[in-house]
Amino acid sequence: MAFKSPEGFLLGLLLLGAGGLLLWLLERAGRRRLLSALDPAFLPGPKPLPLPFLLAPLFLLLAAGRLEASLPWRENLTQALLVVDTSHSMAADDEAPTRLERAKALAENFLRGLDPSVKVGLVSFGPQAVLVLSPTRDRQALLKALQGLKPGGATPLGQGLLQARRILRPKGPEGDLPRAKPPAAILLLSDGAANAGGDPLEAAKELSRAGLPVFVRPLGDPRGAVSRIGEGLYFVPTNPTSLLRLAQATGGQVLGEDFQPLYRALRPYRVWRTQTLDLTQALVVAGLLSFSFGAYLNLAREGRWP
Amino acid sequence: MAVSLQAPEALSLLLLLAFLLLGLYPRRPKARLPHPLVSLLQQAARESRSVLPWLPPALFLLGLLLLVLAAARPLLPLPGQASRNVVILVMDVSRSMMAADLKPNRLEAAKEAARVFLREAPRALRIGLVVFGSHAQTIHPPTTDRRRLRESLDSLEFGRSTAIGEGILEALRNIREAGGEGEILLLTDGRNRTGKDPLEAAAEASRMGVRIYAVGVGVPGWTPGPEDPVSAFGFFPGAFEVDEELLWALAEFTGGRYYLVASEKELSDLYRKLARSVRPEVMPGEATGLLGVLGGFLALLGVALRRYLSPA
Repeated sequence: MAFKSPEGFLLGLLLLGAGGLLLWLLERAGRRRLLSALDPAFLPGPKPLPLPFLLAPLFLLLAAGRLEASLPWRENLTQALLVVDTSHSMAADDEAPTRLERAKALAENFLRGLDPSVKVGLVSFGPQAVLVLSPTRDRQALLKALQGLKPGGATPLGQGLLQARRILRPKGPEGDLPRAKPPAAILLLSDGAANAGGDPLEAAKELSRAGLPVFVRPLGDPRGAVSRIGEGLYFVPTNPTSLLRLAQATGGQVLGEDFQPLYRALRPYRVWRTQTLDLTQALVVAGLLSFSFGAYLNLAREGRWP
Repeated sequence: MAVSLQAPEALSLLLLLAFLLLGLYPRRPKARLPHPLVSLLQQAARESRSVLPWLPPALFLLGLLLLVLAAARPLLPLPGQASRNVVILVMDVSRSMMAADLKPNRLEAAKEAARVFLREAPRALRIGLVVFGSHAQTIHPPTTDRRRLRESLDSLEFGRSTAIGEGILEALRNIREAGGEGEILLLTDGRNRTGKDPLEAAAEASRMGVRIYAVGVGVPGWTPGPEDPVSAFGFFPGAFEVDEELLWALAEFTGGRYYLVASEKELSDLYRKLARSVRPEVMPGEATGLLGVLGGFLALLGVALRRYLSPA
């Protein structure tokens, strides 16, 4: 149990405290108003405030402090990793507008159709194979990281795949029994022309041992293209065959426009886990429900809302 | 102003409000009751036909609407704290960083220094990450998200050549995009081998008023290479030596300072100093708690007004 934003809690205390004070003052003023109009003998007894109205501000106060608590919760352990080629060849314009932009658009399409409880991360390679975003459910952050990718440098495809393996199947302490592996898959968006960082097929062997299928979406003209990059015209090769073999060696597939096979590979795998949950939304809903219940009570008793 | 909802499905709670609103619909009286004070009651009814009796339910409804909006987890531009300047962490991942004069190797030592920097730097400081081997690559534009930076840092591997100038230029581009004020924290072993001349890049930096704090990763003096630790001839004699001269020149040129990675105390002083001034800034943040409190306040106000206007 901890407050993620103590200043929010203070602000809530201030505002809701002011509300409570106002309530008390106006209640007394109303009582006095009644007293001035009626004989004390005819004065009805004071009516207590419905309990839900008192409960709701408490929930909202906790919500304002962004309460976090570790609770057991069903968590989906399925993970996916976008491995995006950011080498120089991705600047070629044989896909409109460029191969890299096309890759970004494809990745966005993929995310749109994906189960929101699946964690997705981002690895880019070229010139460095680096983890840009570790697997997360925060799609906004992922899209932003994706937009920030720029082409440049060599293509260490193998290293990119090994990075992906390291993230999706981290090496833990060896156990006696093989542990259950939650489903995980890699979506590789590349033109396939690797020129640095080891043989991708060697990496593929390791991936298939770790049970990580690589789903490939080849980019660029399969014959290669002549493209204007910067000042000069360059021949930009592609290598769809190597991508096909990569997919075959790891049990993945070559995808077209349709990501269905990949979605099938990313089937949910839910386990009970104790984890820190942000209770803000739940508390706000609790506050809303309890205000509504108070309103309902008043409606039933007196035919009016608050 | 664009409001984006992170949980739009929560808007279905509006249905609940609709049901409650339905309850307010005035029912037709079932039968007429004779009353001795009809004229008095009519007068009271006429008096209550002003706007005032509608104010409490309206306020209450507004409060509940805000609560529903809050439950949908909207992202709103909220005031926050951010430093005016940014610091770009420029990491060398060239092959010469494999040298084992620092344990286990220079790259790991540089990563450790960077990790300490992420830990020590003030929270509001925006930090970017640029790595360079033969090319420079921006991995993260300036951000305050330390976890993301740390994870990317941990995943760095060796690249090929060394292009310090390119790294500095890439960092300058990032600083320009982030508002033009900032510093560069350069973690390298020197020995430029390709790309733009680092001193030209430093001239560009000093024109922009960007200081370079250069951290020499390595032990000064002759260093054995990783492939051949005995005779230790690299690409050329002394290939793995730390180029202190170049790093010192880069720092002097721009008004920064040169440190050795081993001088931990001076470095942590520097880390704390780097955030110069903190300014308030508007950043998109989740406004769930804030809107919730506001909605709760309005609803309470509605209840209070009702208790005042019709106390019985």
